[in-house]
Amino acid sequence: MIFSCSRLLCLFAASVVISACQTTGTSKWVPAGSSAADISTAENHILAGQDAVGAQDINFEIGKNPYAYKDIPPGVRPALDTREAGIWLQLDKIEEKQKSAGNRVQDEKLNSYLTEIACKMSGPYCQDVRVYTQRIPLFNATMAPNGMMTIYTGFLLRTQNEAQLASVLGHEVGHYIRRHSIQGLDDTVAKSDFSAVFGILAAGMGAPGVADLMNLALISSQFSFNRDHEREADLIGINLLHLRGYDTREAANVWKLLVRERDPDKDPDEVSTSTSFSSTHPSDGERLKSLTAISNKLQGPDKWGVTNEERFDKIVGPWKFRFLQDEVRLRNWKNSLALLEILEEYGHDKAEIAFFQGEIYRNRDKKADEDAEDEDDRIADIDRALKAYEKCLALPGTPAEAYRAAGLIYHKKSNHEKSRAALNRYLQLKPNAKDRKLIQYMINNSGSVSS
Amino acid sequence: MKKLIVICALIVNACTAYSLVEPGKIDVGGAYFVTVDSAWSRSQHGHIHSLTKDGFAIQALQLSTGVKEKEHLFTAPTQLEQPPYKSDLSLIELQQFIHDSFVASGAEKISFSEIRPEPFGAAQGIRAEFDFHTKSGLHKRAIIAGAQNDGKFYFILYHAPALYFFDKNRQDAEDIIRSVTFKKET
Repeated sequence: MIFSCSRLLCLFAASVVISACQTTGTSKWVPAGSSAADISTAENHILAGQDAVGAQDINFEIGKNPYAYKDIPPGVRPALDTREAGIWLQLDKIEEKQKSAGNRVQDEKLNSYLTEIACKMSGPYCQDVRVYTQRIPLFNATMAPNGMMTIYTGFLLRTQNEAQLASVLGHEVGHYIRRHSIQGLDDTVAKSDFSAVFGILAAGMGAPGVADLMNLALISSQFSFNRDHEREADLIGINLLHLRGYDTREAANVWKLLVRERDPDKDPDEVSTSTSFSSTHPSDGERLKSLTAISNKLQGPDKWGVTNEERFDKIVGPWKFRFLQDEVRLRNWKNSLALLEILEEYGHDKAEIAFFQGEIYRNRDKKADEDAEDEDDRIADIDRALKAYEKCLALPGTPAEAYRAAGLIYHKKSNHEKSRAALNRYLQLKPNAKDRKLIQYMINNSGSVSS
Repeated sequence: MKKLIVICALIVNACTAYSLVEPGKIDVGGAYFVTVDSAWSRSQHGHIHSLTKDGFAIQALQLSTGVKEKEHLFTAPTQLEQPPYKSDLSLIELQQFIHDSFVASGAEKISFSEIRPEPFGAAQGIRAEFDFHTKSGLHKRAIIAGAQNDGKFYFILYHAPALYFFDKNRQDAEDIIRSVTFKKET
């Protein structure tokens, strides 16, 4: 048990270094031995002399002096004879693989834009941060200790404007500057060492069970340490957001929308702020609440910054159709429907929203329960899908794929005339469709069993 | 000693997992026959019989004995949840089922070059050729041919790195696909 717990700590350490973090961050140059409360007054490469909010200004329960590391200075790599340099070299190798990864988005326009925003948020660290966009339909962004920032497309799908994007990238920059990964690793190694020694002593005294309890406490403190890093990164992120002239309310909005998506039945403002002892991140509710509080301190009602929604839509918007296709494949039906509602509120193309609602229902394919008390359960998904597709077809900007999907539903409902018409329309709109021969076959055989 | 036992067990297991397939007509799990013109190595996992000449990391010809209702295209655990197979899929939906299953397995940048209706054995089926990238960026090419029969989806999938290896055994794969004979046809 002692051994397994120690191993758990080591595994945790490894994951800390490689995966770095999940969205949000902060940073400052804090001399060794200073406390977290010094964050707003310490020398800081980004925030020095600026109107910043510090940890003492909000109600973060940051542990006693967990941040006893100096920030990494801009343009500097760790000295080669340090352990940190070894970690960087390992990550450099991972980064080489990242460059040719199959899921890397290679679009120059999108990547230039994301790099520009990351650079803007990094300030003097711009040269130290490299951005990689990965086609992964999950809400996440990570920062490795060597400056390799990875943005998941699932995060871009859930981002509604440039300020929201910038808030998360600022958080990631915070992790880099504050060297959170190496801090986390050192903390874990120290606790692991202590755990091993304590285990031997406890066993020697005939009380091995005490060591198990100690290990649990250490693991818990490790998670807590990680949460504090996230809180600090949040703090840095929102300060940077403010300094770059963005609307700081958008930092909280990121979490508000995520809360709505993850728990569509709850009011985001009433979501719990408590965090489980085994969570690596503060709860969404806590982040929503704390970021709102900081935002109100940084910017008053008459001085909110910009969101740059238009520019964001111009560059990221055209990708959202593909990101939504990825989203549907996750098969998280309820959350995806909630996400579509959010996107609609933010002005996403109505025809696309209706199309993807149809896609969700068509793929979920829940049969009607005739005896259900809830009227909603008495409707089959195939009917919901058809309704959504028909709504889509009546709107301007209907994607060609909607005609194909509607054709499939009409076919299932044995409405062969409408099926043929919809499929023909699909081929008109997409004359070079790769599935043309299949569609043509289906049109020709509409009504027969084999189509 | 324990380590030695584990190593021996692994070696024995590794040896028994593969068998040699001699040229001739072979029975694919009692579902259908195919004819192979040269020797292949064979292993089985669930409903999939896999053949290879140079190793499965290089090229694989996977012959399914039939995906049943609610089963998945791939038997091995995948990165994302695979869509369940439904026996009432149209050919278009079948193509989507294949595409989504590949995405779930971790394939990236899937690009179909050709999809067409084509008989598989005596059943009307589908044939598709497509490119994809592995997570580490290796560019692979694949051919899949299959058909629905008796409520199951039978298929043969051939995939290999696009550079050199795909073409190396492409003709073998095409010949094997063309040789499919369902048992009821015989």
